[in-house]
Amino acid sequence: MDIDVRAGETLIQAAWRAGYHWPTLCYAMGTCTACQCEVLDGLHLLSERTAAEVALLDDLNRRVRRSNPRRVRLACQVTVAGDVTVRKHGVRRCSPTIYEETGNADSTA
Amino acid sequence: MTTQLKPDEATATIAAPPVEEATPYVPRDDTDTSQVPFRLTDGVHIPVERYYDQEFAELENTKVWLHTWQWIAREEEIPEPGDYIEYRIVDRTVVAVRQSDKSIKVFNNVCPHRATQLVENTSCGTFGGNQIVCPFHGWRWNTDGSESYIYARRGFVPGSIDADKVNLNEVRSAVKYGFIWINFDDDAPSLEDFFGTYDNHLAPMAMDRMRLRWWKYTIVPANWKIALEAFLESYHVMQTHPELTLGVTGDDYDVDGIKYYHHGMGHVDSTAPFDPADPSSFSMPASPVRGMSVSRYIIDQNRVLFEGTDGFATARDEYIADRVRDLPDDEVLGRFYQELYEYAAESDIPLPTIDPNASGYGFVFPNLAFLGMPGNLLFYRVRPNGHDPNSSIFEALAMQIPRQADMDHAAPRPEGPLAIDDWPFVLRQDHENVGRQQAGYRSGAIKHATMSPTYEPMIFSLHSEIDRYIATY
Repeated sequence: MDIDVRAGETLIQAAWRAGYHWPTLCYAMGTCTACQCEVLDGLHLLSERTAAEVALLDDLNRRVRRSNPRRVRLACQVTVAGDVTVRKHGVRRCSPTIYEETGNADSTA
Repeated sequence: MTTQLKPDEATATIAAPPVEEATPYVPRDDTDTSQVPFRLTDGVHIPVERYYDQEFAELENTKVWLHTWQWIAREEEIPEPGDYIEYRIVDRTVVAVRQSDKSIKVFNNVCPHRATQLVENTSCGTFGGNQIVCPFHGWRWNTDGSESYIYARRGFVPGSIDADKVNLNEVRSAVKYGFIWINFDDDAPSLEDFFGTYDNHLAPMAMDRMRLRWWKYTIVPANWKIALEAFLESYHVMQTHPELTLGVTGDDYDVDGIKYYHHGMGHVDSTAPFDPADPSSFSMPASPVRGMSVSRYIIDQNRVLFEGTDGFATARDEYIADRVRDLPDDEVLGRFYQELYEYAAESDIPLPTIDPNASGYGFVFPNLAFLGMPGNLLFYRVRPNGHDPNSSIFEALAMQIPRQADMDHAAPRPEGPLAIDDWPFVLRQDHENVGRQQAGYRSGAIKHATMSPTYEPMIFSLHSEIDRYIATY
């Protein structure tokens, strides 16, 4: 899927604005790693790693590696300067206001 | 054979002229403080236990900090919707959040599930996804504190997690002078009543137009009141800040001319109230330096304060002063302000109109001391460091009214903890004294501090108001 990213906004902000659900636990605070994605193309067009990314993704170097850690970035931290292709499992269309997606209205179901 | 050296009596300093006899400090109201431990009794002595007794510290924690207005942040630290900043005082931690309508709400920084702190101490940031998220079980709130998501709510007894129980509860707050103020007591007097007549002297300073230039802190090995009291009198300048006396010593540096005025609930400043309808109510401050005119004193003292604090006077004030220093005493101060205001007009710096009521040196109860001149403010805040009465967190902040175009620059974050030698020299000199007091208070060598009601009334007001809070709540 194609997502337009505006100047200065992060990948996850662009996804939210376009009405996508993007996996997250911390909601763009840079404290969870759930939003991490693998960069397939355009690695050189991404902003520099932030302190949050360095702190959180460092563990990847000591774990079984499916993707090259160099290619793993946090969607809530990166901005782009051109066309970039990433792989991320779990991104899907949802209602425009993600915050209504509580999924658990007060019922006994 | 030895010879005794004796001071040359021909150059002994001239005896100070006689002044009125000092009288004990009288509290501002008649609240009965007879049940307050280690209370002020005679307007002269301050019992030493107030500075190290654990029970007294706990009384302050519950009766003062939980019932007084206190500033927690500057507005400019959280300019955009979703921005937040944390503040802690002893056991309480709160988070101030900028709302989408640009107002500010302050919440208890505590998860209603199992009390997890939602944002970390001293943190300042943005809820990038407009959600406040508990890191433990993922409960979420919107930035207005209303609940957004309770993970697997079916596991909770119906009714136990209704919105009214799990919404983040707000702490009473107000924005004034560019500061965010809170009061943990919903029934405490209003912020207006808190300031009282102080508003007449704070409003002209235009602090809402100021922006932080730097912010430094240190952990002090002394009770918070000791670290604050270092800045609550000018009696110490003669001995502690030799550079500020501009060459004189002893009684040739005379602070009798600094008068103190009480305002509101415990506050004190040194600006004589001026009534524009009565021009005779204007009084020029006296020069404390014998033989030096007050205008020359102000110009020269500013330069030392620039070198020694970089807060009260700043580089721009000194470059402007350079233009007028060689003028005679009777012209130099007036021309300085003229040049300052012309510079400000040309640079689009929105200085407030010169106002004799603007405060230049003041104390805001319980823990804010400041020094100011038009467009600038250097101020200090001290807080107890947790429950330990022998430790405190001292902060110094420098603010200035910038060019209009620079108003929206990002605010600096606190730097520290600084070592004593890292402070600008005037502040270093103060901290060297503070480090030498706590052990002495604890030692038992003296039972009380013996104070000057004439020179140290700000300190009396601090303690007297603390007694009033302890007696009231």
